[in-house]
Amino acid sequence: MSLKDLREAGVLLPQDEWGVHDLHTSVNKPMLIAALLFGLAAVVIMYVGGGRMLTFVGGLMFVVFMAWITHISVKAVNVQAAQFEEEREAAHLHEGEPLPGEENTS
Amino acid sequence: MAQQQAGDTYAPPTQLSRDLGLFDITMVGVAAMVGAGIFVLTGIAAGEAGPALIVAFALNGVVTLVTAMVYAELGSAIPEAGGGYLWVRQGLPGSNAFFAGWMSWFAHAVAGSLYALGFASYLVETVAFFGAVEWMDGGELLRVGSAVVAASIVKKGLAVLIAVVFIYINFRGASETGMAGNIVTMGKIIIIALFIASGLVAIFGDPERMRSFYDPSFAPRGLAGIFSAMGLTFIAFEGYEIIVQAGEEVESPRRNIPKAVFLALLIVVPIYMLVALVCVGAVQTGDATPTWQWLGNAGELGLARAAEQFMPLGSILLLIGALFSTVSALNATTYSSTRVSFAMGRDRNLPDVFGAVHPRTRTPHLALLLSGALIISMLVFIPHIHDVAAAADIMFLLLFTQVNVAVLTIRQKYGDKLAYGYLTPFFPYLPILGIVLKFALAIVLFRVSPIAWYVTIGWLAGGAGIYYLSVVQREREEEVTPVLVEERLKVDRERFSVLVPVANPKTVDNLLAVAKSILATEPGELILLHVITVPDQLPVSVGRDFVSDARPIMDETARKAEDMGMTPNMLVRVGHRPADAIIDTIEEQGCNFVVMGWRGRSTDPRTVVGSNIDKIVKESHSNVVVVRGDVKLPASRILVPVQHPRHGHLIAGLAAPMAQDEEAYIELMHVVGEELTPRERAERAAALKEAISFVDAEAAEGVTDGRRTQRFRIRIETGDVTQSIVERSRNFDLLMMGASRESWIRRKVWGDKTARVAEQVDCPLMLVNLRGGRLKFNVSQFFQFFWDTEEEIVP
Repeated sequence: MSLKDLREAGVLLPQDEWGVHDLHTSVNKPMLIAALLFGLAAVVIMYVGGGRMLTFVGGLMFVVFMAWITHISVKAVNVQAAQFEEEREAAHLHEGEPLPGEENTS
Repeated sequence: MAQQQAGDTYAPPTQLSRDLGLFDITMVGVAAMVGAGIFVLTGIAAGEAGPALIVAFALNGVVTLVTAMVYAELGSAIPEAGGGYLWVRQGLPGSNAFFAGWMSWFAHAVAGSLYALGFASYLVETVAFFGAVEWMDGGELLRVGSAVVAASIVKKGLAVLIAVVFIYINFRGASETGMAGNIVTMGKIIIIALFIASGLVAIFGDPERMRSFYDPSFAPRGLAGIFSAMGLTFIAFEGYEIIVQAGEEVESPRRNIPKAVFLALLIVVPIYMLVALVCVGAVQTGDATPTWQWLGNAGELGLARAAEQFMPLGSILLLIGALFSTVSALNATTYSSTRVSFAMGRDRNLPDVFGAVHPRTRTPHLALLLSGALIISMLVFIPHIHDVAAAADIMFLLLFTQVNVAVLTIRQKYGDKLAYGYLTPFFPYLPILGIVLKFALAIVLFRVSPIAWYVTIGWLAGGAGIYYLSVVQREREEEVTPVLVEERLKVDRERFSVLVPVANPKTVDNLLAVAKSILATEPGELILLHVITVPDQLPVSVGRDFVSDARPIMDETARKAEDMGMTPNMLVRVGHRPADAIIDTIEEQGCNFVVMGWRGRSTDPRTVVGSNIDKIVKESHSNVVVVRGDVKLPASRILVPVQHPRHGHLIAGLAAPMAQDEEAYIELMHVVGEELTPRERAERAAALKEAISFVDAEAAEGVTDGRRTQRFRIRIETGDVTQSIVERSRNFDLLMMGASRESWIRRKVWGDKTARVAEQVDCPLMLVNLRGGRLKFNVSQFFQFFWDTEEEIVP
């Protein structure tokens, strides 16, 4: 793949925007670690429970873990989008314009 | 869907209306996951994990989450219809693209075999439900009227029949779309929801049923059984790829695609866990057989047998749900396997017949026929349904492993040139964890089905054979810059040769003189190359119109070479970039040296010497000599800075024939940053002398009049390396410098000291990059791919 291919696919940012955006994740890392540890604990409890009550407590915990991690990830997507716009604003570039490939062409 | 019908090869490129919101696209993902996989595989997996199937599903949720993050990142940054295959094709080097397609074709085809077999089993069960046939001998035999036949033969026969039906339907061009598809999707989800609800009612009505979770054992086959069940059911978790496949139709894809991936998993993983809970918890076997074993014995029919016990109209509802699910999955996999092989044929990764389109139905009939043959042969020849499932799982796991690798390279290469809606946390560790987990699960499946691994290895070996015997040659033919003119080209590729790319005959004298000096060290051929460059917007074939312009340039250069006593071979190529044409010539002709002119420091801050020369140094396995300024050969005074004494002989050996005058001398200059002790200085001087003695002795042998013409001098200085060389060079006719190692160190040298010196010196300059071994070069090329950042300027 080359930048030319990406440009033709309409997913490449304008060249003046290169170097503007931060590539650090917007996921809340401490929260993610906490959720992962919680999920791990849930699986261990499910297994250690041996099919008795503890297994189902672990199962419930696992569902909470799934919801938690989804919440963290969805929030990260929102933060990422806001941060992206802020970076555009700070660089005075393409503010409010749709991102490449997001124009509705219907 | 984003995908066009495979046969629409002549349709103009279209963009689709973005009308799928977050809810819609999440449901697309849920529908893709909750389907045939869970209907067919739950019983089989329960037989492996026991009641701990619930843990297996939870763990699969975790493993899937890791790759889901990668999908969220790439799906938001490159929301294109190709999905995982596209990213692997775009993000990984060489054969990976071929193997991604090759594995994807097989994975979808074998998944089709699995769903055809699942459909056949459920069809027989439905017929048995209505009393038309009767199970005998624990499901091994079937009584049909007065005849008794082996159930496996009946199932395989029906599976072949349904596969043929769907091959024909796909040939006619129909696909599961619109209302019918939605009804099937909603129907199967409602049936699974009823199944779970009924099971929970049964459990709460009689909590004693839950004994089967721990009596006799929760995980009868231990962790190995859990891991095996994870591997077997992985195919039921990979449906989120459909979310990214539909990326072109999604509103605000950078927000909605990653969200939908996570939301779909949030819905699906608990559903699977609840299915495991009610399957084991609500079933009563009626004898001493543990529930999990009872489910395992029922195999692909486990869910239907369980539903019989606690679900109102359970059997028939489950059977209808399973029949619809397997049929729609079979249709989808027949379509997708055909589409992958068709795309590979069109891309010339498979023989051209795969890319053929039927003139009447406009469908890729031959790709369909061959994909159908693959589906049928797998379901016929792989003995058991769990082997078929394992084979499909292994392929999908290996494909997902590649996607995890691809995210590493795509982030490295394209960085912030893409608009990411989500960035994988703990990068690159999470994708690496994904690689490890997926690969480990694939390995674990050997325990479940060695035959699935043998089939996988056989398929990959077959792919490797096709790739290296056919595709590599085709790729080379397509990628290589065409030769328009060749004259007196050498026949023996192994013979020593020096390549001189010629742009302007007026400035070629220096290059020819250097080439002559190199040919003095070893007799060989001179190859002159002229490259006709064509702008990117135009096809390469346009270059043919300019051959007549190249003729005088080549003739004049050839005449000059002949005047110097050389017999040149001549080539004219056409390409978009001169560097590609030069690299192609080096590879084709096995050139040992390339001699190129350089006007001066590059204006592009991201290159060291210039984009063309940098590319040739990096990507060709040849010694490269770059000449700047008016180099007069033979030279009287040549300065050769030597970074390390033991590398001195390499560059000094090249310098020797360039200083043939009686009074000429070559100074080897070794500059050190810090003060040396007398002993260290003596040691370094001795090392340099040793290097010279090797070169000098060789040179002396070639002198016929008995006089030693080369005088080597050694100079060891303390101080700033760049400044010392720049100041010293003022007294010399030629400065020769370079790196002798092809590694990151070479790049450092070229990028740092060499570039700085080149910028500051006024005297004629020769930069020399001596190549390493072929193996070392290939290894460095491989790692270079992952290391490089894509820096191309898009006009």
